[in-house]
Amino acid sequence: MAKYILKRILWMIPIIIGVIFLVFTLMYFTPGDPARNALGMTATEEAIEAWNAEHGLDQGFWVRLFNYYKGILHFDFGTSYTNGVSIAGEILSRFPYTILVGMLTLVIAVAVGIPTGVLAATHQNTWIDNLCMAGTMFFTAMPGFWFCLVMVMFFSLRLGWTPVSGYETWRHYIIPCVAMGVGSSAGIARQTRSSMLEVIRQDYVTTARAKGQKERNITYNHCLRNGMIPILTVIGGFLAFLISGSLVSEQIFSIPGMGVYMFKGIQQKDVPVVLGCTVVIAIYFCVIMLVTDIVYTIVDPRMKTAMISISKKVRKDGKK
Amino acid sequence: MSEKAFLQIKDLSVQYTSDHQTIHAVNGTSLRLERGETLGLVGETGAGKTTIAKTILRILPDKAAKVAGGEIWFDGQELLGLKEEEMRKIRGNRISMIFQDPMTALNPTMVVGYQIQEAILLHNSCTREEAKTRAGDMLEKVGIPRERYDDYPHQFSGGMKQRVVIAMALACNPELLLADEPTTALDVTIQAQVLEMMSGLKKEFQTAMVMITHDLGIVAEVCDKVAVCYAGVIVESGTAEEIFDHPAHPYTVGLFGSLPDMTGTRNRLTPINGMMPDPTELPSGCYFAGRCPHATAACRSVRPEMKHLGGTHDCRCIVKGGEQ
Repeated sequence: MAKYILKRILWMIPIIIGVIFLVFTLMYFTPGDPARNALGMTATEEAIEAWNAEHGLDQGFWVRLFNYYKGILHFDFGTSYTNGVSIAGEILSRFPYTILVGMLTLVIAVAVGIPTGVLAATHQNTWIDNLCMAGTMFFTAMPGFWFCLVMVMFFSLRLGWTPVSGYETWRHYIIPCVAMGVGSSAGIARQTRSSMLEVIRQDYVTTARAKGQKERNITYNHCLRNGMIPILTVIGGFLAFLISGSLVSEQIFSIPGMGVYMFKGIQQKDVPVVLGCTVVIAIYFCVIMLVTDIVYTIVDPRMKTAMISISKKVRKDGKK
Repeated sequence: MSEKAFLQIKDLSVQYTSDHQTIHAVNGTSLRLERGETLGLVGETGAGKTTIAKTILRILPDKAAKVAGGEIWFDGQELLGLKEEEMRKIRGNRISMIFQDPMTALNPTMVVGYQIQEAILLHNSCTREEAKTRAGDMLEKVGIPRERYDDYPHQFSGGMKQRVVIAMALACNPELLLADEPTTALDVTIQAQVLEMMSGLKKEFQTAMVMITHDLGIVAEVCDKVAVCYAGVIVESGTAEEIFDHPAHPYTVGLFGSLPDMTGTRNRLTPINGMMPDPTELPSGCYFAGRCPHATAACRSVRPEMKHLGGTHDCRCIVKGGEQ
C-alpha cells in the first residue's frame, strides 16, 4: 500500500508539469497587453518596453516557460503584474480561508446530506422519501448565491443574528458555510439514497437482520458502509470543486480566499497570479484524488486488493 | 395434535405483492418439529421453502410480503404476534438461519470474525474481548484457524465462506437452526464436508434443524423427518423411512422417479412433466392435478385434505392417499 501511495505521489509531478505547460501556453496566446493594463493607456512606448524587460516579457516563449518552471522549483511563483506583491505569499495567506470555508461547508453538506439520503432510502416511496427528494431537487435547482442572499436577508438583516460579511470572527462563517453546505448536501443526499437502495436489498443485510441486529445498526453499520463508495466519489468531486467554486461565497461575503484572487487575476490578465493559482489548484486536485482513493480502501477492503493488484500488473507490463 | 411440539406451524399463508399482483407463495402450510430433530423440507424451486423459513424468523421484506394467516408456535410462544423487540432477541439467539448463497450472505466490508462476534455481543452479556474469543472458538469449530479472524470475506473460498456463515448461525447455540440449502452453492466434495460438519455440530449443541433442500440425497443422509412442499403446501410428510420407503403422493413418487438409480437398469430419468402452477393464479383443485398422471375430475375441483396414512405419515391426495 505504501508503495502504491508513493507511486501516486510521484505521478503528480508529470501531471503538474503538464498543467503548467497548458495554462502557460493558453495565457501566452490570449490577446491583451499586460504592460498596458499595468501602466495605463497614457504610458509611453519606452516605459512599456522597460516594464516588459523588467518582467522578462521581452524573451521568447520557451525561455519564459523554462524560467517559470525554474521558479516553481524554489516555490517562487513570481510577483503580480498589477501590484508587484509576491504571489506565493498572497496564496499562502489566502489558501487557509478557502480551506476553512470549504471544510466547514463539507462538514455541513455531509452532516445534512447523508442522514437525509439514508432517511429517504429507508422510507422509500413514503411521504418522508418524497419530502426529502423534493427538498434536494429544490436545492439542486437553486443557485448557491441565491440561497446565500436569502439567508443574509433573513438572518443578518432582519434578525440581526450574524454579521453580513467579513471574516474576522467565527460568526462570520455561519451563513456562508450553512448556505453553501445545505446547497451542496443535495447531491450527496441523492447519491446516498440511490446507493443505499441498492445495498438494502443485499443478502448480507438479511443475514444481519437474522442475527437479531438492531435496525439502526443494520442501516448505519452494514448498509451505509457498503454504499459508501459512490457517495465518497461525490464528496471527492465536491472537494475538488471547492476551491474554484468558492468564488461565489467569497465574493458575496468578502472573504479573502483563492477564488476571488484568481478571478481578479483573470480579469486583469495578471498571468503570474492565474498561473500560480492554477498550480496550487492542480496540486490540491491531485492530493484530493489520492486521499479519496485511500479512503476507498479503508471503507471497502476489496478496493485495496484491487488497487495493489493493478499497480503490480502495470509493473509487470512495463517490464515486458 | 398436541400443542406441545417444539416448533409448530399451523396453516401458514404468505403472500407477496408486486405490480398489483398477489403471489401466493405459502398456502396453508403446517409443520411440526421436536427438539433435536431434523426436518427435511423438500421441494422444487419456487415451492415456498425459503419463504417459510424467513417467515419463522420474520425477516421477510416488509412492504412486499404479508403473512395472510396462520400461527407459528416456538417453545410455547407465538412468533407472529411477538413485538419486534422481543423477536429480535430470538433471532440469531434461539433461532438462527444459514443462507443459501455464502458468496452474498457475508458483509464484504467487515472482517469475518466481527460478523460472528456481532451475534454473540447482541445476545450475551459479555465483554468485547470475551465475544472475540468465543468468535475465534467458533471459527476453529468449523475448521478455520483462529488467525483468520481479521480476514475479509473476499479472502475466503466459497466453502470457507459457508463455514463462516455456519459459525455465525451457531455462535449463540441456537435451539432451532433453519438451513436454507446450505450446500447448493458448493461443489460436491465440499458439500459432503460441510454436511458432516453440520451434523457434528448439531449433535454437539442438541439443535433442532429445518433443512431446506431440493437434494433428496442430503435428506436421506441427515434428516429424521421429511415434509414435501409443493406450491406452498405440504403435500406429504412423515419420517424419512416412511417417505423414502413408501412415497404416497404422486409428486413425491415423481421426485424419486427423477433421481438417477445407481443399481437398476434404468437408463433414462423420468422427469415430472409440466411446470408448477402460476402462484398468482392457483388452480381451484389440487395444485398438482395439472401434472399428475393419476388426476381425476375430482382432483381438479376439490382441494384435497391431509390424510393420515399411519405412523406419522400424512399425505394430501384424493386418489393415492391410503393405498400404498
